[in-house]
Amino acid sequence: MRPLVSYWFLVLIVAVIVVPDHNSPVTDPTAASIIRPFSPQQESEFKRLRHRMVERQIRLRGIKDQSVLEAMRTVPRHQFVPPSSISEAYEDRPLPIGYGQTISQPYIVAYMTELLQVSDQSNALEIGTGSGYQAAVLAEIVDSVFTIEIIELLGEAAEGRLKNLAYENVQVKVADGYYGWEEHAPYDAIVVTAAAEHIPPPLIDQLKDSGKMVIPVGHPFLVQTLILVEKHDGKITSRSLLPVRFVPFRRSR
Amino acid sequence: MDRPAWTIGILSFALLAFEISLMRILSYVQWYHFAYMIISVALLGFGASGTLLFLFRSYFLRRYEIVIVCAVVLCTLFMALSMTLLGIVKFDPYRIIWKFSEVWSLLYFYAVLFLPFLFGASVVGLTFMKKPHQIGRLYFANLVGSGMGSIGAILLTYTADPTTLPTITASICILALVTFLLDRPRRALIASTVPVGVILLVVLWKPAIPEMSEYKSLSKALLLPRATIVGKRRGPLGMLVALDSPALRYAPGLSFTYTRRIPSQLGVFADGEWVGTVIDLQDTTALEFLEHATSALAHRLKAEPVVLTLGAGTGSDVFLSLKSGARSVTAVEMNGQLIELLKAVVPDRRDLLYERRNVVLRVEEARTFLSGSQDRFDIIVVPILEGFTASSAGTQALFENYLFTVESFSEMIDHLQEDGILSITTWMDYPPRSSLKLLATIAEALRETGTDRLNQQVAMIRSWGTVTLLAKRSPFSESEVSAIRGFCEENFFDLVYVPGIRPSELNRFHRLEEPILENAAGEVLSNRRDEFLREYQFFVDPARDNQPYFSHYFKWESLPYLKEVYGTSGVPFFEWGYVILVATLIQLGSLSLLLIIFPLFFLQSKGREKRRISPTLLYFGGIGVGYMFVEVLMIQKFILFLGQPIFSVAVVIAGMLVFSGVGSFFSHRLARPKTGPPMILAIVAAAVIGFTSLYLYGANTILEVFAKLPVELRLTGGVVLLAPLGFVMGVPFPLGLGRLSGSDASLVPWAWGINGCASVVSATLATFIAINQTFVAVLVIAAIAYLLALVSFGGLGGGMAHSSRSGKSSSN
Repeated sequence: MRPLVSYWFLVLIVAVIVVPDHNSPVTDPTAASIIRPFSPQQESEFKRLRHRMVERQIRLRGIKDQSVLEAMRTVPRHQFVPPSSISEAYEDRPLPIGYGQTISQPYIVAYMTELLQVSDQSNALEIGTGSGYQAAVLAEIVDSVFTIEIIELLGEAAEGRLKNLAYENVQVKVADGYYGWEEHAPYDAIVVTAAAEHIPPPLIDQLKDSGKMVIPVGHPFLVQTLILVEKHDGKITSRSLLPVRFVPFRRSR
Repeated sequence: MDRPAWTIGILSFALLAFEISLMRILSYVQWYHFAYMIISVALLGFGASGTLLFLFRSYFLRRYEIVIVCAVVLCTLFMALSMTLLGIVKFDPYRIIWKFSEVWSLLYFYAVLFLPFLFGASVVGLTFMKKPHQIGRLYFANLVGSGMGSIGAILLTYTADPTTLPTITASICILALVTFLLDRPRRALIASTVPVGVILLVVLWKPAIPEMSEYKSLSKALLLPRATIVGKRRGPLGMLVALDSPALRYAPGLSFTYTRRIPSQLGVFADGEWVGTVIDLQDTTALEFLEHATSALAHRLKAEPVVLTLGAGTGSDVFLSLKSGARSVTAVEMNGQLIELLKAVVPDRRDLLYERRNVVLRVEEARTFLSGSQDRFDIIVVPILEGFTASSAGTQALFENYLFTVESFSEMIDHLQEDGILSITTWMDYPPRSSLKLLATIAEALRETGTDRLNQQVAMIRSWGTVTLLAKRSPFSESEVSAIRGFCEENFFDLVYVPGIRPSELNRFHRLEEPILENAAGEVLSNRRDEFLREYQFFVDPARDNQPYFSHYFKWESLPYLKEVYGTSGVPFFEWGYVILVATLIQLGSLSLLLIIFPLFFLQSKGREKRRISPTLLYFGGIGVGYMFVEVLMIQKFILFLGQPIFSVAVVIAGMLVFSGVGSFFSHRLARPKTGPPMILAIVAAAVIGFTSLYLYGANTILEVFAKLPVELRLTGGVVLLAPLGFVMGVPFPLGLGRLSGSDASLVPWAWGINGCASVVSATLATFIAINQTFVAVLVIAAIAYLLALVSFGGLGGGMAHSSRSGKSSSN
C-alpha cells in the first residue's frame, strides 16, 4: 500500500489545480464593438457571400422591395456576429450573440423590413437593439432610426459598432423599451425584436397614423409568426404572417 | 450482514443519490430533456462495467482488493469533481444542430458523468464475481441501498444546495471505502481515504456552480435593470426564485385596445423557467389589464360565481376572479414551496391573495382534488400551462400531464353546476397545435357525456397571443353567446367558434392569412373529426390517461414536409422534448449494442460457452427490459394516485428496489428442487403481468380511494401496492446469475453488463413507446420480455451452483 501514498498526493495536487476559480471576469463588451479589420480580399469574399445570401435566401423567397434587397446587400453582417461565428455570418439562420439573444436569420430581417414599408422620409423605432444589425438595415433605408436596448452591455457594444461603421442616422439608448422613445415619436415604423407576450400600450401610442409595427413571435432560434400591427384613423388592426407557407393537411399537398 | 454487503449497499446508495442529484442540477442549469439525455447516456456506465469486468476478469479477480479500492476512490473523485469538470466546458445544446464542434462538448459531458457510474458499478459487479455464493445477500444490499438512495436524494434536495449534492454523495462513497478497509491494515485505510477526504474538503470550500443556460427565462430576467432576487425556495419540484425588477411586466395576449399602464410585477421562476407573477394587491387600478385578456371571458358570463382554479400558481387568475366579483375561489396548487415563497416575498399578510377570507387554498394535485371533492362550481378555471417561450419550443413533450386528458376534463365537467363553465386558456401557436388538441380533448370529454348538442356547448376565442376555450354541461344561452360577441368586439378579439357562428364573423380583428384554427375547430366539432385528425400535420388527437402527453404533437409522417418548410434545423424547435428522446434512444441503442457485442470477440471458442450466449442474452436482457418497462409504467401511473410526480418517482423507485431486494434475499429459498426455478419464474411472470394490469385498468378505482386519504396514508398505500410487484421482480436475476455462475462463471460479468444496458435502454424506450402508443403497449412488451426470459432459463445451464438472489441492476 505504500506507493499509494505518494500516488494520492499527486492526485490531490492535480485536483487542486483542476478546481478553477469560478469568479472569472465577464468578457469586456467594448471589445465586441470594435470593428474587425479584414483584408480587401476577405471583404470582397464577404460581399460575394452577401450577394449570394440576398439572391438565394431572400429574393427567391419572395422579397421584392428593392430598397430592402439593396440594404441587405450593403450591411456587413459579418461585423455584427461574434468572432467565433464570422464564418457563419451569411448562412441561412439566426446566430447567438450572447445573453440569450440572437441576430435574426437574414430572411426574417428582410421580411420584417419589407413589411414596415418604409422610405427615406421615415423614422423608425426599434425595441431590442441586440447586435444592431436590424437597426443598420433600417438605417440604409430610412431617415432616422432610434433603437433601445435594455441590456447595458449589448446596447453599448451595438452603439460603438454602429458608430464605427458610420451609421450616423442611428441613435442607441440603454433603457426599458416598454416606454418607447417619447421625444422622437410618433414613428412611421416600430420593430419589437424582443420576444414579447404583450405589446406595451405606449408603443401603440407612439405609432403614427398609418404607421406599422412588426413583432416576431416564437423561439429565439425559430420565428413562428410575425405580428403586423397597423394604425388607421386611430383604429388598430393586426395580422399574423407566417414567414413560411404552412399547409395544415397532408392530403392537400 | 457482512462487510462486502455493507460496502455494496452504501455505494449503491451513493450512486442512486448521485443520479437523482444530477437530474436536479442539470434540469436547473439546462432543461429537463437535455438533463435526461446526458444522464441516460452516463448511466451506460453500468453496462460498460460488465464489459470491462468481462475483458479483465481474471486480472481483476487476482487483484480483487486493490481494484476495489481504486475503483471506489475513482468513483468518489469523479463524483466530487463532477460539477467542477462540467464547468470547464461551455455546452450550448441548441447549437448542436448547426455546429459539429458542440458534439465534442456533449461527449465531454457524457464522459465526465459516465465515469462515476462505471467505477461504482464495477465495484458491485466485481464483488458479485468474487463472491458468487453470497450473491443473494449482495444483490439484496445493492437494491436496498439504491432504493434508500433515491429517497435520500429527494430529502437532500429540501435541505442542501443542489450544487453541493455531488460532494455529499461522494462523502458517502468514502464511507463505503471505510467499511471495505475496516479489517485491513490501518495504513491502507489512511492512505486511501485521507487524500480523497482532503479533495472533498477542497471542493466543498470552493463549490463549483455550473452556469445556467443563457436562454432560460431567469437568465434573461436577471439582465433586466435593477433585477434583484427577493426570495428562494428549494425542493424536489425545482428551485423557485422570485425576482423583482421595475422592467418586469407580464400581460399575456393583452388586447391592443388596452391603453393604460401595465404595472411592473414580481416574477417567479422554477428551475429558471417562468411560472407567473405576484400581483401587488395595493396597486388595484393598474390591474385592470387582467380584464383585457381572453382569459377574462368566463367571468363576463357569470355574476358572483363560485370559482375553482386548478393549478393556481402565483394567483393572477385567482385575483381576476375576485376582481370580477366571485363569491369564493377555491385555489388548487400542488407546489407547497411556491406557496411558502409567496408568503415570504409578500411582506404584509393582508396583501396575500391566498389568505383572503373568500379564498380557500388547497395544496394538492388537481386530479386528486377533483376525485376527492363533492363540490360543484359555477366556473372552473385552468390557467395557462407554461411560460411563453417554453410553449413555443415544445419542451414539455416528455412530461405526463394528467390535467389535460379526456378523463380529467370529464371530471371537471362533473364538478360544474348545471349551468357552469369550464375555462381553459393556452398560447396561440402558429401553426395551431396546443389550441387544437385542447379543443379535440374537451370535445371528446363532452361527447362521452352522451350529449347530442356538442356544437352548442363550446366556445373559443383568440387574441393575437392567447386562446381561451369555454365548455359547458348545458348549451350556451343566446344571451351568453351575445356576451361573448360583445367581449370580443370590445377587445378586438376574434371568435374561433361560438354556437351559430357565421363565416362573416371569422378572422376580423387579428387576421390570419388563412383561418387555420377556425376551420380546424369546425372540423374537430363535426363528424368528420377522425378524418381531420388523421390528415392534420400535427398529432392533435385527444390526450387520454393511458397516453397523457398533451404536449406531444409530432407526427413522423409530417417530418418530410416540416423539413421542407422549416428546414432541418428548424424542426427541433417544434418539439425539443421528442427530438431529444429519439436522439437519446439512438445513442443508447447503438452504444449498448457495442458494449454487449464487443466482449463476444474475446470469447475463447469453446462450444460450451457459445451455447450459453443466446440464453444469457435473452434471459438477462429480458428481465432488464421487463423490469424497467414495469417500473416506468408504474412511475407514470402512480403520479395519478399519489398526486405529485416526485412522490411517484420516490415511492416507485424506492419501493420497487427495496422489495426486489427482499425478493432477491428469499429467491434461493423459493426455488426448492420440488417447485423448480422454471415454475417460480412462471409464477413471477404471471404475477408481474397480473399486478401491472390491475393497476393500469383499476386506475380510476384506486384514484378514488387514494384521493380520500391524507398524504401519509397515500404514500403508505402506494408502497403496499408495490410490495408484491417488487418482491416477485427481485427473484429472476439472482436465480439466473446463480445458475450461470454454476455452469459458466466467465459469462457472469457479461450478464451483469447486459442487464445494465437493457435497464438503461428500456427506461427511455418505455417512455418513447408510451408517448407514441399507449401504456397498454408498454405492458404488452414487458410481458413478452418476461416470457422470453422464462423460456430461455433452461439454456443457462444445469443445476443450481450456488444459492442466489435478485432481479435487475440498480441502475435506475
